[in-house]
Amino acid sequence: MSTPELVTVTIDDRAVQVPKGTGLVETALAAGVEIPVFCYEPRLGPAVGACRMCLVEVEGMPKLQAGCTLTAQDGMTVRTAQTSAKAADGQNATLEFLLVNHPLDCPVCDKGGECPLQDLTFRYGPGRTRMTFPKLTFDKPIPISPTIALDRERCILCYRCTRFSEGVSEDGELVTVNRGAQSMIATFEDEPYRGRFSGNVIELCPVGALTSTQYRFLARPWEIQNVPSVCGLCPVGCNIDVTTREGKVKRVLSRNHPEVDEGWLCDKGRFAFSHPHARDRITEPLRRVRRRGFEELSWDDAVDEAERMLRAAGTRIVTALSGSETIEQAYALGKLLRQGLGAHAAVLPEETSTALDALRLPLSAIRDAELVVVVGDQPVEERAPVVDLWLRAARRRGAEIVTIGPTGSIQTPPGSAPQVCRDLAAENNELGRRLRGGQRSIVIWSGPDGRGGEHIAALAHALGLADVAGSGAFYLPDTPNGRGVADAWSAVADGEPADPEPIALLIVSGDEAAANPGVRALAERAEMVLAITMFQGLAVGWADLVLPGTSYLERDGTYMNLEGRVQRLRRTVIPPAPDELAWLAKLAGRFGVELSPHPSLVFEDVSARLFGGLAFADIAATAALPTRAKAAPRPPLPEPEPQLGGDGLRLLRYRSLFSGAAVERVAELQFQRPAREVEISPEDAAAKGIASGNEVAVRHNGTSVALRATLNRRLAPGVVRIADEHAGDLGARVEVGRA
Amino acid sequence: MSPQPLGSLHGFAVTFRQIFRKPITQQYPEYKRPLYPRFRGRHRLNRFENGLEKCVGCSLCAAACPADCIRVVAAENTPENRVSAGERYARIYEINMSRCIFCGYCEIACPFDAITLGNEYEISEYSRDDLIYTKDMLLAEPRKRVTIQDPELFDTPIPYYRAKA
Amino acid sequence: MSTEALVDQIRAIAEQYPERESAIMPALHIAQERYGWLPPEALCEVADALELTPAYCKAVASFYDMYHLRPTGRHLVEVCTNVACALVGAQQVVEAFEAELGLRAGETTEDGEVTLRAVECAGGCGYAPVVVVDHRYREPVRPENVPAIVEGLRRAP
Repeated sequence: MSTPELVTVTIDDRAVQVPKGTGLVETALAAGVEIPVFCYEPRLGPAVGACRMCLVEVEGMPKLQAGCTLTAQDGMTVRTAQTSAKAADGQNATLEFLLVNHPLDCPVCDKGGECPLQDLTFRYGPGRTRMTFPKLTFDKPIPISPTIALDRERCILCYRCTRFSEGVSEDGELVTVNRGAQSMIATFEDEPYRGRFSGNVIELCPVGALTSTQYRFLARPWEIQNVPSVCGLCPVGCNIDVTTREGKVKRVLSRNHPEVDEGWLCDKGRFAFSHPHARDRITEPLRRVRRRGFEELSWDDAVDEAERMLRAAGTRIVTALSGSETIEQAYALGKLLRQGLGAHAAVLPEETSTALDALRLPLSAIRDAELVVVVGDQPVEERAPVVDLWLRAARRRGAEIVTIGPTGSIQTPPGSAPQVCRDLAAENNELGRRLRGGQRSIVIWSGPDGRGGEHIAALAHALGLADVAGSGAFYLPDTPNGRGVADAWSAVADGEPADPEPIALLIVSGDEAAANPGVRALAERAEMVLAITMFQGLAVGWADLVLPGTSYLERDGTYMNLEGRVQRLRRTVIPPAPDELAWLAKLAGRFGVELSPHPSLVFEDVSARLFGGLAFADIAATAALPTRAKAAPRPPLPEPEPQLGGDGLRLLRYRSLFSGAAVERVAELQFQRPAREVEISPEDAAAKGIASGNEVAVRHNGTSVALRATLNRRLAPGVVRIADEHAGDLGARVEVGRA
Repeated sequence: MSPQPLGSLHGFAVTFRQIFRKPITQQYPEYKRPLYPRFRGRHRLNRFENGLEKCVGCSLCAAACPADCIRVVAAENTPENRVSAGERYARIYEINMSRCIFCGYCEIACPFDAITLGNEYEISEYSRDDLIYTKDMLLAEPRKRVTIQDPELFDTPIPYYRAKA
Repeated sequence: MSTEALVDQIRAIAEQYPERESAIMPALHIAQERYGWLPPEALCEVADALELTPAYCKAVASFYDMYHLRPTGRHLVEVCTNVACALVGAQQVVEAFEAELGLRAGETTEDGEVTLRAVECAGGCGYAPVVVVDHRYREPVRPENVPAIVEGLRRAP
């Protein structure tokens, strides 16, 4: 890229040099002058100049101009309200107009104290009102969705929210209806705003018109603390600010990390924060007592009991990790079990291929790509939602996005992704040739069974993407910190895991591990089960000893996201039970293993082995991405596993974004949970005489599940898709018929 | 004998003279001196005539409080449970009187005249816990009454905001 | 016209535009012709045909006066109240209609005969105030002409 031409602009008698085409608001900022704005937000696409707050006087133009819609031109002379009485007058009048029907109920409004309208009125607006007529009033609050409330009276029609819906998340569900003074922000009829990123409009709103129902009247800006942390619900690791008041989490806000999330956050990350207060949260250790269920026991007794179980089991221990532990917790657990007891057997969430390190890119590189190929069975938005926003941004910039999968732009049957990778790597493949020749080509694996990214890494290496700076590969794992957990576990010791038989003790760490059918099978074989869990879930059913777990909001430590970026989690509130490291350290001491209860010290230990001695304190608030590793010898493409044959339709199970232990416990998010339905392609539906909305029975080997049919035009023929939580025990081949 | 005998006698004379003067001791609590009319005592929360609370739970008083002794937790009014006039009301309103310095900033900050400082000053308790005044206590009529001097006797300055208007 | 036919007709029109979205207005007209107004189902069908969201269709339909988001009566009386007509007394014309029909602008008479609406510029500024009765222009209309117009509508077959 060539360096852009610099132009000189004079703003309030200050000359400043900026690249040609820079927005005037940014140019002014470079000169140290503020141009106040409401509607202007560069992340939402081109400026619209809807609010008129940014009025400036430009030499040579007779009227005041909306500054946000102008770009820097050479020799431009601009006067803002600081030096131009005309501009100051214009802004004053703009604010007076905006406030004509504004209710000024700031003491009641949730935005009060952090409201741009309040701030700018204070600095640029009229001190008193000339309005003698009664103001327009409307019914309020209007529910936009169970999580968002609209106050029409406060709305200044800046169109930030609808521009987000149209131009960023591209769901098109939030629009402006009616015209002029009757304009209002609305969804279609009484439908709730179901977008996966709907919560962002709350943060975008420059007034108190769109507010969070969860945060409604809970706190005011001067009563809260915002703790910078990282979301622990998906592998993207979006940066968040966690608002706490009086020791409780009240809301989650996005925190802009320009390389990871660009300041966007999905609804799961934003609204699922209340799960630690669920009614079935386990706060005390529990021990199974014969015929009496569980009894609570003190922490001292619980540690004694755990010690007894560990000593009895010796090396015959299997540890099931869920991938939501922090790196420190996984390391501590590994140190205790592997160094203290020599018990190396573990069920790891997913071991990420090291071949990906040579293909490392920040997520923001997707936006700048020319060609992106997404391979896999599951939609990106369900696995790593913010990655979907990056893909949409890339498409808007003119990139070509090719999705290959059962719902892709190129349709393939479920489970064929490994074969697709082999095909793309072949010399004569057209798409593969274009990926190979591109300067900014990116391949992404989105789906299960990726062997920790081996397939996609091998494809990327075969295409030579490791040798091009703007090209690379991403693997979207299942779990938020699967990569960090697996790395930490393997960094502890070198011992070869041997499958113990019989299993004396199974340690289940976290609710996700308990949901794994493989772990369930192990639990049936194990003599004893120790569960570390937050909720009265599956694991509690098998456990002999239950130790309370903590949430990502209650832990200090580090997570590694899908890029390989190590990010800092901060304890935002005190958990109701001591966190894992505290009792692990105590337990480790009894086995002669030295282990600190402080994450910073544990991290030092991990860092020396994994991250080249990176210090805990050096992990910045917006963490840096480690540099790309040297390209290793090209790994061979793994052999695809043989596909299951058989009759009937292929069943594609997918895990919805709005599923899992945290979402299940948040009342406001229930409307987003996947409906009890089976998606079927129009071809198959026509062949079986099924119409959209019909009740159908999905059968497999004698089991039958009753679901409602919906037609999905994007679904490959011969495939039906059901959300994991509704698919029950259905196998890979199913029969679908009208009930 | 002290080096300045006259000085000592001088002192004794002062004491002796007082014997014939009327004492200024006031027999508190039997006798209570009338208060200055703008004396700032224990707070009160006010209601409208229709019984609704004036406080909307905006926490501006808590923000203004230099002693950080006010805690407000707000909630939403519902048709079944209407407490205040707006959308929002104070579900919890507490003032920790052991920290309060009676500066009156809360009264100045309040946009709805919901909190005012009354004239009561006899609020000592045997336990610190009892000094945390809840919303019910603040809304209730004060138990003890005090006499206030006639405001006419004082040269009350005109508040600046009225003087300008 | 069946739903499939409607969708096909809309798609055929969309072909003529470089962007699908651009066909939204003719598409809404077609749907309105079919239903007489634009019920939510109609908006969903248009959205389906053009691969837009129903919300977007509603946004467009609610912006323009010529789309009806509520059922209309057998006759439709539209009074322009935009600047030119307002200057020569359109408001009085609206009030005359309101008095004559016994309703408010935007409502339909109880017998479902006449719907009265106050609309934006109908494009007849030279002969203001304009009243559009069943898509035919009457201009200029004074309050005193109103009873005759209403009488005509009542007697019309």
